[in-house]
This record gives sequence, structure tokens and C-alpha cells, in this order.
Amino acid sequence: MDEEIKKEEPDAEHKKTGKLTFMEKVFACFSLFVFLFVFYVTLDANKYEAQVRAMEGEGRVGVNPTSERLDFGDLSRGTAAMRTVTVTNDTFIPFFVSVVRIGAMRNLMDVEPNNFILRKGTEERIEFTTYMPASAEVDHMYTGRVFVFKIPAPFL
Amino acid sequence: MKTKITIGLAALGTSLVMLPLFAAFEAHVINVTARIENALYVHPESLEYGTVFPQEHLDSSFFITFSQSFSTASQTRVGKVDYVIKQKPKPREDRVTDLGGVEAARDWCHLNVPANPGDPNDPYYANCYPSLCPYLSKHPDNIPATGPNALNDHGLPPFHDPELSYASGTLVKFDANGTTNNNDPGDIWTIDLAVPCFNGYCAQDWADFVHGLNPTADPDDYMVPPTLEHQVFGCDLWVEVTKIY
Repeated sequence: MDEEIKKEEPDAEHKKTGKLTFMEKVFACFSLFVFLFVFYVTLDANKYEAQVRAMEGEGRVGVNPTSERLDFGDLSRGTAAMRTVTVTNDTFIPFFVSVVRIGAMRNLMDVEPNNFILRKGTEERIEFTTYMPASAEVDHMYTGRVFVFKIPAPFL
Repeated sequence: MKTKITIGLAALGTSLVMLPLFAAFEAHVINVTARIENALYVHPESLEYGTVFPQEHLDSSFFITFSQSFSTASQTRVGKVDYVIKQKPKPREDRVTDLGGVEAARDWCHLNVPANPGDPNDPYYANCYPSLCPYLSKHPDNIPATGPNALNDHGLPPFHDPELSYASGTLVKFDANGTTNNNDPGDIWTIDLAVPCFNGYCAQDWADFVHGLNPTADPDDYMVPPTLEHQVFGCDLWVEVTKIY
């Protein structure tokens, strides 16, 4: 009986003093590291606005090739436009590159390639292709955001 | 006391590891960059010519202009856009996925042109349409006809090498002074199909038909092998922005 009471003493002591156990400290450090890593990757991600406008008529395209955003211009139904983002790795480690799309543009836009390893000293051209379907609402501006995440992958 | 020193050292170690990471980020030593290219590729909607007969001449058209977002008054950084109209082999729709997507499929067609175009069993024809590209001409609207931007679009007659020849044009929102006098905000392109004949079955005036549309072309180079009769031909047209200024 006395032994059982003695065994419970350390935990009871921690609870009483509010101190963390060794495992809790390890977990806290690990969580902090993961948080900082995610924070860094998110901060470092390239964030672009994407937009395209459905245009009335047939065989008509309006272009906006400026590089402020992924602007696919004005497209009549049945037309398509492609823009490219070039990713360059000038570091000494490989990076895992992943493209995430959100918003209405997500369903209109294809990304090729996506989720790939970018080796050190190499360059890759990511192609964003937008197709204006027959069901598109004329004069409607479809918008969205594109995130290009670059995650260090030294062991790949 | 010992525990506190251990925790302190661990915290110090973590900080030392993380600090260079952030410093490197700030100093752009971690140099992985992503940039949007100015180039823009536009694929006009399908131009369907249906069933055609040798030496027919059929018209179609498309219109290219600035987008609404580009045309806003606040967009004063860029006033001119140069572009070319490129022709690329057309992959069959049901093979695009197996070939790895539209671009990969088009590349496959580009790299696997049959050595003998008259062999219908060549793997090329299982994945790609026989090429219609040499027979498509591009004619500009020639507007504006006067002023500094006159005749700034350059067409291409049919019976050409699609790998080497392109039509080109320029869209002008405003000139170097920022004025829009005689600007050229849109181009209408007429795409003609000059239907080829099948080798051995060409009319006597085939050479006249070819030279009438393109005096420099050799009529013998543009006869289609008769084994491709009844096939659907195809070509992908892409407007590629080459320069903005």
C-alpha cells in the first residue's frame, strides 16, 4: 500500500506544481518545430491571384499577358488559355513543389506538372491551362488563388 | 537546477538552428523562386470544317483583343503585345489522358511524326490526327490601314511548313506617348482551309490551285497519301504572346 502511494507521488507532484513531464516537453518541442516548419513553408509559398472572364460570342479571346497575376484574360466558350510559372531551385537541396488551387478557378484550371521534386540547380515550367466550358456564365469573372508551396526535401 | 540547464541548452540549440533558417529566408539565400511568365498561350475554339472535297477553299475566323482587365485605364505599364499564331499537331481526344495530358500528348505527336506518312498503321495515327496544319492559311484584317500601327500583322498562305512558318500580329493599346490615336486593340484573323488532293487522284489544275494561293510552294509536296482518304484531319492553333512592352 505504501509503495503504491510512493509510485503515484511523482505524477501527483507534477500536477501539483504544473511542471511538464519529460515526454510532454519532447512533444512541446516537436510541436514547436513542426509549427515553425509549416510557418516557414507557408510564408515562403508563392501566392497568386488567378482570374478569367467568360466572354460573349464565338472564337473570341481577350489577352492580358502581364505578370502581376495569373490572368487568363477573356475567353469565349470553348476556348482555352495557358500561362506558365517557372520554378527555379538555386539551392543545394531538392525541394518538393506542390500547387494548391482554391476558389472558382479550381474547377476550370489544370496544373501540369504538380507535386514533383525539383532537384538542386534545376528549373521546371508549371503550366496552368484554363478551359472555358460551354456552361460558363457570360460576363462572369471567375477568380481564385494559387499557392506554390516549396518544401525542403533533403532526403529525397 | 540540472533540468533547467538542460532545457535552457535545448532552447538555445533550437534557436541557433532556427535562426539561420529565417536569416537565410530573409537574405534570399534559400533561393527557390517562382515567377509568372509574360507568355500566354490561347487556344481558339474548335474550327470545324466538316466533310470537305479536294481543292475546296473554306473560310473560318477568330477574334483576338485585350482582356477587360488589361483594358482598364489604370493599366498603363504595358501598351503593346506581340504574338504569333502557331500550329501544332492535334492529338486524338481519347488518347490525351493515356499520353499524359494535353501538352505531353501534343509533344508526343510532335516528336513521332511518321517516317512514311502514307502508312496508316504507323503508331502516330493511333494517337494523333493526320496533320491539317500545312493547309491552313491565316489572313489578318489589315486594320488600321494607316498611321504608325498600319499593317502590323503578317499572315501566312496555305501550303507551308508549319514547323517553320508562323503568322504574327501586334495589339496596341497606346503608343509611346500614352495616346490611343490609331491604336490597334483587336485583330480578326481569317483561317482558310485549302483542301489538298490525294496523290494520284489530283486534278490537272492542282498546281495552279497551289500556286494561286502560295506561289512559292511546290505542289508535289502537299499531295496527301491516298491511304489517308476518309480520315479526319486536325491541327491545333495556338496564339502565343511573345513580347509585351
